[in-house]
Amino acid sequence: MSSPARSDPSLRAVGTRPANGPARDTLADILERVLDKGVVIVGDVVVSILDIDLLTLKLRLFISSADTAREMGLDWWRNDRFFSGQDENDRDDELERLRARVAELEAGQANGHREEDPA
Amino acid sequence: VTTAVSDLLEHHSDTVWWYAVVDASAASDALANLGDPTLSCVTVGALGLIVSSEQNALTAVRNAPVQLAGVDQELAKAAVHHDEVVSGLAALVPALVPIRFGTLADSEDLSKLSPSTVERCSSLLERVRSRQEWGLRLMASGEGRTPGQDDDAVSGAAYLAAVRDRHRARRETAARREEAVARLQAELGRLSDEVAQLSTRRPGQLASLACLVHRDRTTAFHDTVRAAQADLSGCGVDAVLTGPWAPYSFTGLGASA
Repeated sequence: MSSPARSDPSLRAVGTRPANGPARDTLADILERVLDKGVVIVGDVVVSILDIDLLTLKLRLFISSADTAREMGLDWWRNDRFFSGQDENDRDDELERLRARVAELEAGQANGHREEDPA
Repeated sequence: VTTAVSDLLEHHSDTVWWYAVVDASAASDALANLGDPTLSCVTVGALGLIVSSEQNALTAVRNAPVQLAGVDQELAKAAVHHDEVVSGLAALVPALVPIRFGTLADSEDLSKLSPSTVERCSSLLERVRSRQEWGLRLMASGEGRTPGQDDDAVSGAAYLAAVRDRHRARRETAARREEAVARLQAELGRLSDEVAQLSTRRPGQLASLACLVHRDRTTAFHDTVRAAQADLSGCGVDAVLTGPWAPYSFTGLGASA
């Protein structure tokens, strides 16, 4: 499977694989290529290579038939806060509520000051 | 994730792991030469879809936690295995479109690919026919010694002069580096059918390029890279070549099929 070029030291190609597993660069390069595009996102995978390189790679799972996936209940990502972004929406809603409350309190405080101020 | 993928595996025994698209006419010989009995070919017109019902990779995905800190060994092994199958096939056929890791399909659905998908696969096969992807990562290898850096400046004027010299040297090194990288990119563009910039960023990385090179131009491409490595190392750039790869960076089929 490996080609001569991958092990040509004069080219400094890094695709050679030692017997005890892939080299750091090789694994990073492989992950960079094989974990990429897809339709249904299963999870965000944070891969740290020997604590030096930090790659954020997305592991995606493609189901060939969306109908089949739905029949099997594979629409969980729609209801999962982590994936659907509902957390973010919730945070935005909460922020709006807090802003409204602060404005309300500020308005009440301003009215109170005016009532206390005889001038 | 565990529940979802487990359900898929338990209820759909026909779920297969999809590796690549090749010419149907080349598939059987390639599979015979590769000698992996878990692989099979689903033929759709002139296309051969290389799949496996082997469960190791599926199990690795099923067991993968949503977020991993550090390398998940099972997932890493599955990804490496995926690339080994794809690279092994790519070496045996004139054209191959790699499918992204983690692509599952119902084998019945695969045999009923839409005409537009078949057309796109055929078009991608022609795009990469007789070509290989090579990766070139350009890394900053340090500034090197600059004038005045280690001088023991005894006066304020001498110190300021040393600082000025260092700044000037850094600017000159950066300019030489930019010129060398531009020269290399122009050369690679001449020898490659296509050049793509990969998006992953690593510490000290100046650029990561993927080049789609016709097999007939491989030697010239390597000669160019070898010459560039000497040129670039003189201005603090380490050029690291990787490959050959299946043309992952020039297909992107997993998303649209």
